[in-house]
Amino acid sequence: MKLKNIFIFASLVGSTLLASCTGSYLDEDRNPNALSPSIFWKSEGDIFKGLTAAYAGLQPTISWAIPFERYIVIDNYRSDELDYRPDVGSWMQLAMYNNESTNSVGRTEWRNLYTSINYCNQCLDHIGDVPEEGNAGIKDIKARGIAEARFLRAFYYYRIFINYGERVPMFLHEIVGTDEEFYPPQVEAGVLKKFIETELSECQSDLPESWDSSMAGRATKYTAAALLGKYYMFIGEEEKAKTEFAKVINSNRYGLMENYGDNFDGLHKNNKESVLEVQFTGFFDGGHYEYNLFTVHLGPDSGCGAYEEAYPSNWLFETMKKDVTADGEYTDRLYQTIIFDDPKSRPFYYDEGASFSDYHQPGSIYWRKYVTYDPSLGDYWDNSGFNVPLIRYADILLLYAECLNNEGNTGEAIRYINQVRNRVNAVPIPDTMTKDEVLKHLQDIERPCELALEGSRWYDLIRWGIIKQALIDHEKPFANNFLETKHIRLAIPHDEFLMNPDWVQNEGYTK
Amino acid sequence: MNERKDYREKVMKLFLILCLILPFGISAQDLMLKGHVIDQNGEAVIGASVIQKGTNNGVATDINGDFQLKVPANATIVVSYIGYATQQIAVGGRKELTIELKENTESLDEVVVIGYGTQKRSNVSGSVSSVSGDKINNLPTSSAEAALQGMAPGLNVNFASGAAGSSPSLQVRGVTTYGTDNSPLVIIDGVPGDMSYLNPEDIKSMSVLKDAATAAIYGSRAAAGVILIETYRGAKAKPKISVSAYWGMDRIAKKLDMCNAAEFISVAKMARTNAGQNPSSWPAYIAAYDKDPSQFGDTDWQDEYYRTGFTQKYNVGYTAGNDISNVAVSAFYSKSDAIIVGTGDQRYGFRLNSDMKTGKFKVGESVNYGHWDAEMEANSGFPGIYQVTNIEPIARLYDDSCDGGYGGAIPGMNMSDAANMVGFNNLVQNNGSNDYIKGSVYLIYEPIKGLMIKGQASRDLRFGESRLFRPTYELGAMKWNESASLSESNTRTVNDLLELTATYNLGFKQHEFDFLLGASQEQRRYKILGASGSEFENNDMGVLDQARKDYSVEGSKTRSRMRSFFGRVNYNWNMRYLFMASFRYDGSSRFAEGNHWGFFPSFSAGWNIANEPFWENMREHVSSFKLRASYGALGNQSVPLYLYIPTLSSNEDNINYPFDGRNVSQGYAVRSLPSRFIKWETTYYKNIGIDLSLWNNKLEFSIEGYIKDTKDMLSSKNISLSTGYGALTVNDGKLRTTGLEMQLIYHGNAWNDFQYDLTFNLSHYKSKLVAMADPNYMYEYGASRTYVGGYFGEFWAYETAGIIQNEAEAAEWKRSNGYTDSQGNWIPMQPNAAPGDFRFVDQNGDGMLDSNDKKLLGNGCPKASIALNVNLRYKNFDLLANFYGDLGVDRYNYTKYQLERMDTKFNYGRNALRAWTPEHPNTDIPRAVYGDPNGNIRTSDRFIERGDFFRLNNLQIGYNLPSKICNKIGLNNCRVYIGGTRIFTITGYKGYDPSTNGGIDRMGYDYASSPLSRTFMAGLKFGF
Repeated sequence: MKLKNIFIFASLVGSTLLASCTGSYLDEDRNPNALSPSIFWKSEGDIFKGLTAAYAGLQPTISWAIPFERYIVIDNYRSDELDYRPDVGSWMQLAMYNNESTNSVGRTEWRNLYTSINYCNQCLDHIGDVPEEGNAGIKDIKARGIAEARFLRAFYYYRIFINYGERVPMFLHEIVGTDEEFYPPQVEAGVLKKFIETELSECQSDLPESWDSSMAGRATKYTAAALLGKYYMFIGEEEKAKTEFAKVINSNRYGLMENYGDNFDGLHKNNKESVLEVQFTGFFDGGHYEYNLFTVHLGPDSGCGAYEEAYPSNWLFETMKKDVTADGEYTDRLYQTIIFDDPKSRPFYYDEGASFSDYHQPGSIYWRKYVTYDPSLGDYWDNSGFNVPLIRYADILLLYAECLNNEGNTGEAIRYINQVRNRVNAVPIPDTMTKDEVLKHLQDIERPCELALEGSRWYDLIRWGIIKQALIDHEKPFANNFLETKHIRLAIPHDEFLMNPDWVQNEGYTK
Repeated sequence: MNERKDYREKVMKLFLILCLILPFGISAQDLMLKGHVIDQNGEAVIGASVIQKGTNNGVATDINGDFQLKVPANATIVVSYIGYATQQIAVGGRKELTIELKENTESLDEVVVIGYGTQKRSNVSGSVSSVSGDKINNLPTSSAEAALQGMAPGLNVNFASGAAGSSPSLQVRGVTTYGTDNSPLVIIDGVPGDMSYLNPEDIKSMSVLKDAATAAIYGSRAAAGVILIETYRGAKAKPKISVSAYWGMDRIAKKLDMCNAAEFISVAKMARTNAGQNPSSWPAYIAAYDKDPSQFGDTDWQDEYYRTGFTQKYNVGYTAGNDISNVAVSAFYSKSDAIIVGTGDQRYGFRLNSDMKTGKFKVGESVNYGHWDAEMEANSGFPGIYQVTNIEPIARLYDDSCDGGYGGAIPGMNMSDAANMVGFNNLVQNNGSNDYIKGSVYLIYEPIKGLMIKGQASRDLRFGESRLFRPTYELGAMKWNESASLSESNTRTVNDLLELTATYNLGFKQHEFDFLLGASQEQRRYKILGASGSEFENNDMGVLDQARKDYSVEGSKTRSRMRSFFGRVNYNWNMRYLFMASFRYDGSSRFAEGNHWGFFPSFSAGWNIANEPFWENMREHVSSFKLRASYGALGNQSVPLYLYIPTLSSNEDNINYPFDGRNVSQGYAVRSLPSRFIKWETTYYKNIGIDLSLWNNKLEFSIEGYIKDTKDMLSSKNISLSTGYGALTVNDGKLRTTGLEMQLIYHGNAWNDFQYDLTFNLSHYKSKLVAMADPNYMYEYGASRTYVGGYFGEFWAYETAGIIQNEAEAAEWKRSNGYTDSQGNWIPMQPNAAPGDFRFVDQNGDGMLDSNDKKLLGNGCPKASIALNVNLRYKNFDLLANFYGDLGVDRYNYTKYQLERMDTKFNYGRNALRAWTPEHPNTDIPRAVYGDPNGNIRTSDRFIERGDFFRLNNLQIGYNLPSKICNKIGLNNCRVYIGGTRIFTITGYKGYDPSTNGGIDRMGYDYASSPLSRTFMAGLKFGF
């Protein structure tokens, strides 16, 4: 009797368990903490959400100061305008020209750029999926969204091109998880160049003339034209570049700000001089962190209490000091670029009545550009909520002038250069300058003074082909280490060669 | 009665037929012997083995300690049980017997706890190490894990750090898997649990299930081993209370030799001069110090950072029981002020275990509450001891002009950003606490003799809290906090278990069987809720309610589930031939439908040679001799949850963007690829062993070898960085660990009053990464390199070839080492090399110095870990000494790198005073040079050191009060002792502590780990 009961009991329990194990006890239909991709690309709002992620690639991983690493370390540490403090090893390697393929800066930049490209590709593959029923305007919104994604993708590829060269992998679609994607080939020479050119040309037609102020920072026709022009300059196609710059200039949508410093103080974000600008904010309501950490890295230790990672080079300081106004005074450009011992050099951390000697040792200089704070930009000076200009109208004018000068229209070129100089009351350059003198002026004075620390100098030196000599002449530390065949590019990251041993490494670097 | 007997015979026959064993009968002159087995306290002994001598006719006692056995009237029965002396009793025609077993720790034929049951040591054919509670209970520690150090061969206790709030991790037999968890499954009183909340004084026994044969019953999560712990339960005896307490002083065992202020300044000048810096661009403090040193501090930061800690623990236990019920209650409190200033922790908890019987039913429960809270080191961005060796001695500890009162970098002096950790730890409140409540109940029903059906249900709840409050402060010029911030989070974890098992044992003639069948279901739910905010009225108002801005919240939840079926058969013939087979069939929600289930079988066999008749003559010398072998499969599923489910990311800073530089817009993107096809990882386990005991168990020896082959290893599949996605998890990895373990135990005595036990353990393993999805897989962490085809623990670094002594040597080195670029320029390999710099060896001869030139220069995985445990008793005195150590091991001394880098503003070790100069060229320290243009501090053989050590881990000298005195003061027993932990360490290693360890992929990499402290203590224990 009892045994029978046991068997009945056991079989009941057993069958219940067995029955339920074929059921859903172990099945999870979704991750409770994340959205499912299946809900996405259903409405007009989704287009904006997808594009927002694509734009976010302009300022990756704030918490690790990666925007600083991209726009200051990669774009300026290697050039003759900047001196550095030996602190962060991977940054020093770049500045000392002993970076190898294992350098983390190159790896992070590579990865971030491709991550952003994938976000752009997600937009490009799926904007078309958004249903169009009952939404009259959506066709245009889709076309515009695709144009924005193409612009951003081209921007990220442009950054890859200027630092890693042409032998890189290319993705034109969202990555879905195939081995072909996991171990991609390097494209042949020419493919990437052609692609950047085509994309930046074609996307212009669907991009708007301008955006509402609440959408400032999004790409317009002219942003694309300006970037294409800069790209043409980099590859030495000045004629084509000139056409693009002319579009920007002739749009009459841009102008120089009256005060040079307005471009960097955060109080005049997306102003009329701004062609492409990375957006930041110093407020973190809702736990959002979208600040840039520039001031805390560039500012001086003494007085400001910042990390003092880098200094203006002596050459830059001396050059700027010589570039004076008609009254023989220093220009606003110098005051807005460098902190030095001068009554008119007054960075934000000076107390009322205090002066240079209250904070700093005699003779020292520090970056003033991007060392700023205003309470309206956020609660903390060390986060920095100002925007970072990537392409300013002044840059376009100077490049346009360079194109004009190059085709022999030196007088016209001088007019554009002086337009930029007039804004800071610098003595105009004389009409009598020759073509060569104008080029030399642009190379040695105008562009370095106007665009110091804005990520132009290094790439300018490369495209002008005067880099090695400039570094030596301007006493860049360890300039002797610089090898033109090697250091004008970054290495393709070492990790890639573990997976793709057949890839070709950039010259001078090992896999 | 007849009916019942009838049934039993039927059941027996059923099993016989099933097992294809010849039928048997009971001879006519047999009698039915009824017996009751108790221990010295009168408590029933459950599961004791009762065997008719010379046969295999036997039974085990039931839950009441009773047994019935048909034996010839003139038979002798043998009664045995774990930890008790085996007794032989002549039946002499008696039909009822009460047998009292006496404790015997030296008995070889102890019963060891295995999964879902017990087994006689002599019948074990798998690999299991057991440690009895009395070895652990006496150790003065509140950490059960720490108490296990050196106790069982093959069990490693890894201290990643000695910091407050950190607990060591356990590892059984080397590396099982790479990329996921290597910690063993811990089962406490039959329920998966967490040793962090276990009071070591509650442990009655611990078994480490090491191979597949023993662990496969826990199949899915057993690949990295299983640790089974049983806690004390009450006994049938008059109520007993025992009390213990100890107090100890902690000190740091070793200080690093750092520069003082004057030395610091002199090295700083040397480094800047060598870098060609003009004194006008030197940091301001150098000139200022030369002018007036008194305006600076001369701080020995180690003296300020380390202090004398104080440890105390109190424990009280109560046990009682009678025929139908028993109870054990214990409670403890421990507190430790750690050796690092501003840190410490405390723990307390209680446990209630009781059992009740009625007829064929037995019910019981275990209830456990544990609390832990700690004041942890403040996070300064880098490890505390890194900051302590970095900060300049010229910085002052205190500065009244700073908010908070602590000093640091002096404004305007261009000092480094190294942190004043004393200030940090005292100002920043970084607290964690956990409350743990576990309740489990069981019901056993024994419908017929030998068949036990057990249902068990348990729930454990863990409530974790963490709180980080950063007040406003100014720690010198480089570290400040303008606005106080507070972040708090609460977590809740609920683990539920439902389990049903049935065991049946029967023996007849020379056959003995044990059957087990079971099913279980588990669920784990986790939830976190956190919030933060900043700006408070003052630094005492650190409550979230008072935060004025920067509000943010976090919250998420997860769930995982398992369902399992398992079974086991043990068989032995005449105590000579042993067999065991088990399986577990597990389903897990961590894998997608279709991949839920995994099957994990195992087999083992043993041969007790000493029980063979032909051994008879040798038994006097070799009392037991066993060969055993096992093979089986174990699983691992410890991957993150929901890995196979595609997700769309949103509300993350990396994909949000503030258009117009103001309002943050939410971006959406797919940021990771799902690992759709993941399934169970399986470890195939081979184990062989020999157990030997000589001279009536005076000397016990066992040796074991094993091979673990992990297949379908849950591991990373690295994909091109250009995909923008991180690695995927796949089942493409393979790993092999081979190892050897040895244990030698000697029980000796001399004269009448002197007894001693010596236990020596040795274990060796090496683990090789056989395959990954990517055949060129390599992971580097400093010098630690993990790659396909390599052994875990390898150090790869540059090889130095001496210091360049003069300009001519530098020029020659540059001329002879380099390559020609595409424009025909000669590119020296070390372009900045100057006198005083290291030469580095170009291993592949390509003229470039890159990661391909690193060479295998050491291994952080010890060739052998050894332990020696000594117990001496002389009259009323006793001595306990536990030693352990590692042999054949290297360490990467990151702290040495810190002390000898000389490339930046940080303080230097005093070795920097021996830095190369033209006047002092005979040195192994390169020149001091700011910026280090030659890369002298790159990962090289300079920082790899021998890591062998041998440490006296515990020492206790105790005195037991004579019973006369005890009785006078109303006690049953009383022991007082003095002792200490980590009293001395023999090592050549130059860092703080040779025993702290990193993870699997950085074995022996000493990355500024907080050292373990040295403790001297006194304690007492008494009962009444």
